[in-house]
Amino acid sequence: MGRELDFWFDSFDNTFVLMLVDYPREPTAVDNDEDYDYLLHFIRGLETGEVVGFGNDGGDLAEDYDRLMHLLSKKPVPGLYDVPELGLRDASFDEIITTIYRRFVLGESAVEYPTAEERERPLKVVAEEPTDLDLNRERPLSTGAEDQTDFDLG
Amino acid sequence: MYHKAKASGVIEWILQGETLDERQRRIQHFLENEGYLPPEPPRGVDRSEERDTHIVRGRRMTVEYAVTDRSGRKVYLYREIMVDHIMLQRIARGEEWALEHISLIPRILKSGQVISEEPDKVMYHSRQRYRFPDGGEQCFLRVIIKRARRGQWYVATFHPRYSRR
Repeated sequence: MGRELDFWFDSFDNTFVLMLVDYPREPTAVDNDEDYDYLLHFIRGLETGEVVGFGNDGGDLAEDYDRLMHLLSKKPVPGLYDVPELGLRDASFDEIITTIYRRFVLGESAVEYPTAEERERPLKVVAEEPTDLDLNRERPLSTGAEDQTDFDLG
Repeated sequence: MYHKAKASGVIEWILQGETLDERQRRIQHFLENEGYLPPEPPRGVDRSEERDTHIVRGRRMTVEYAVTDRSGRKVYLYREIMVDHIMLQRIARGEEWALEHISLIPRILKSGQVISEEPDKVMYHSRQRYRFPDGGEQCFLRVIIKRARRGQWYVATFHPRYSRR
């Protein structure tokens, strides 16, 4: 059984917060973000010094997903986690990020997630894609062109 | 707004405030109850466009103030982002102690250290370190500004960054 994480997602800027539920609430601050090019950070308790959560405040998962998965492949976040809000049990951190991306950025509906043994690897990262990519192809992100367009209605 | 299946009582209570003013009042009440000082009004800001509205990422935002950063960019702070995103996220993560210092955003933009710079995103750290009340660990305060599609820069977030000595 993995450690349980509470999950938040802010659709305004595609940021998430994952907080360990088995830690008492304490003052916290961001840490370890250089390791992930500031696209992911640990949330460290200032009294215990323990990592109590993870987040990407200041980032945008729609834009950062490929880079973040590449960074996580180089420096994985250790441990397995349960995220009841996402229907995940014994999930690795990159599996959690992929689920958040699919569900909240791409807008895919919830699916029955396979057990840890059956699971396929998360979506491939850019570095593993073939080099002859057609750069003119449409981006697969459904980030909502209307939502992302800034109209001055004032 | 937030998609959250397991909301803490505090966040739920704040979000029950129907207007921005009411949510901000509840946040102030929460901070004072927790023993934190309410944020002071920032100094040295341009309020000439206060209450003007801009659309950012498809949502209408109300200007609180503007400040010119150290590189000469005009940066807006929007009330909706400050209350519904920065303040709520700080509380959700246990970083509410840093909200005492939120009025330092203009100073950090004017004289802070640029940590990372991309075409549409700049990250600043405060020159000074700050500690939470009664605590020993010290933190920089971080401000991240982003550029919207229409070109205006805005404060995207403000949070404490742990500092190893």
